[in-house]
Amino acid sequence: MATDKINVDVLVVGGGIAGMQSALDLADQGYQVMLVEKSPTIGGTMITLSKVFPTLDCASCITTPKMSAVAHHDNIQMFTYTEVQSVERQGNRYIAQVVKKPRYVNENICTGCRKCEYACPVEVPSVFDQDLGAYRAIHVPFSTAVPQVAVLDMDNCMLCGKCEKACPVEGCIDYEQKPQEIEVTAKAIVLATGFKITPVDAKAEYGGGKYPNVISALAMERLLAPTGPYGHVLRPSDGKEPESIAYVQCAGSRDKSLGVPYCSRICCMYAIKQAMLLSGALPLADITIYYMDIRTFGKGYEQFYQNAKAMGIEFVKAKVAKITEDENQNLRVRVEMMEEGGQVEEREHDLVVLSVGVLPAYNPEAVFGVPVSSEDNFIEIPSPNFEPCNTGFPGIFAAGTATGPMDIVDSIVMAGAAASEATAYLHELAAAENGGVTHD
Amino acid sequence: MVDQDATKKVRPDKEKSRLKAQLLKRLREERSASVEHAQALVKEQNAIRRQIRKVLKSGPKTIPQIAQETGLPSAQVLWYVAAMKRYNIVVEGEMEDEYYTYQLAQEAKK
Repeated sequence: MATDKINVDVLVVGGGIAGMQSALDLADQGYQVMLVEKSPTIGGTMITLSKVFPTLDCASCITTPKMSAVAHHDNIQMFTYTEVQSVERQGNRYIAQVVKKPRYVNENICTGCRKCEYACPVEVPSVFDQDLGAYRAIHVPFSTAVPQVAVLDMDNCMLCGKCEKACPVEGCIDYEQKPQEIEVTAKAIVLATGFKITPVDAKAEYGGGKYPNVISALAMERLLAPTGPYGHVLRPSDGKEPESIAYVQCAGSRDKSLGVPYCSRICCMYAIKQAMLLSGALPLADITIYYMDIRTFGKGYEQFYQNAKAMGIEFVKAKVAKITEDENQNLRVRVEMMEEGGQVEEREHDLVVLSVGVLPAYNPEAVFGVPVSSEDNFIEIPSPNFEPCNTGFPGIFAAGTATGPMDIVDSIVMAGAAASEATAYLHELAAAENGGVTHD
Repeated sequence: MVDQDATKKVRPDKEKSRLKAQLLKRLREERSASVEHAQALVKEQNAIRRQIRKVLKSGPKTIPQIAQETGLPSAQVLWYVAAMKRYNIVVEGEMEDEYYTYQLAQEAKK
């Protein structure tokens, strides 16, 4: 197999909000960037959200222009469905072997018309909709995916040929497409590999994964989004419009039994945000948030919390012990009321949202040599107060939730900082290579 | 006015379609495990969708009503109906108490 070779200044790993922002900040300064993303589209977790706190701006309206800017930037080469296999340091360069997985669709000529998708007879759970909805085995991941190109899930393909017959572009569907190997030479690397959420079934006593009406907060984001799987907030067990919704805070964080002793930082705020959005979508619904403490750490966040209380959202300081389901698939939530002397109560809700925590999505040690912290498994930053994005490896920087739980605002700030630290490094490297002179 | 012909595919000649059919046949043999899995899945999905369509022929229904008439779990019915809505096979109708009703797109047009 022929290996393509690409030479850039910076390799950015991860196409979520942090990776996109780093890539744009570097490219805008004239540096050549290659951005690799493992999914078939860039946009990361942020593009799946309904709105963002505390401004309640539409998440898609902020993310989509950035996705588009990345795709069209003259100095950015974007590779989706691509993973880094190995990295080796040679002198002052990193040589990375990356593999672009087969989409079974020719990315250069696909118009994103989705005729293949309509023709395909196989339905699979939609990853974008957190499995609540379905799409076809061949699909464009979502309406604003970048690139607007179909991807074929070969594991669920029966090779009936219907997509190819429906496709208006000759030779676009390629059932024999092979992985493409690319060798990337880069002077610096930015790791923006993001996070994943606590699996919804991590705490068996909450019934996630067992009871359809116990869902993760990311699933609720999809229910709240206008492009969501049902088009409305309905409970997954039977399509009922819920009248009583509960949030279980710290469902996966500050919990040593799960090996997650840290606070995930964003859950209080996203729960408050979702509660507010639910009050708008379902004005008659009762919304309760069971919490240990409310942590409103950012600018305007405390006011946001106070506004939510004033809107009638019920905040109950309580620890949820157990959730069970009755014959109507309603949920009985057993709680210890912390402000009423630890009295135990059972309350009924139609739908329970687990405010799941933030876990690292990727361990870069095997491929990049960059170690993770033994305390939380996020990328270790040796001097967080001095160089917050420096991994301690020459030219390798990190940004966003790959380094620890943080919200979108902080991810964007850190992405800019990583780009800045990287350009300073590139500047010094250029000076050193042009006669060994640095400018200090 | 968009030039309609520009998007039309040049009709492949018979030899080309013969080669394509041959290729698909060969690939189906090579990837028999995933192909058989997908075929079984399609068979099951088609059967479920047929049941849902049949129930909806008599008019708009809620998810619990479809579940009761088909004997399928209501969560599964919702998953299928959501997909059918996404691909314009069913459309959403009026609400009945706390539930939306769904009807076949072709019936709704009548």
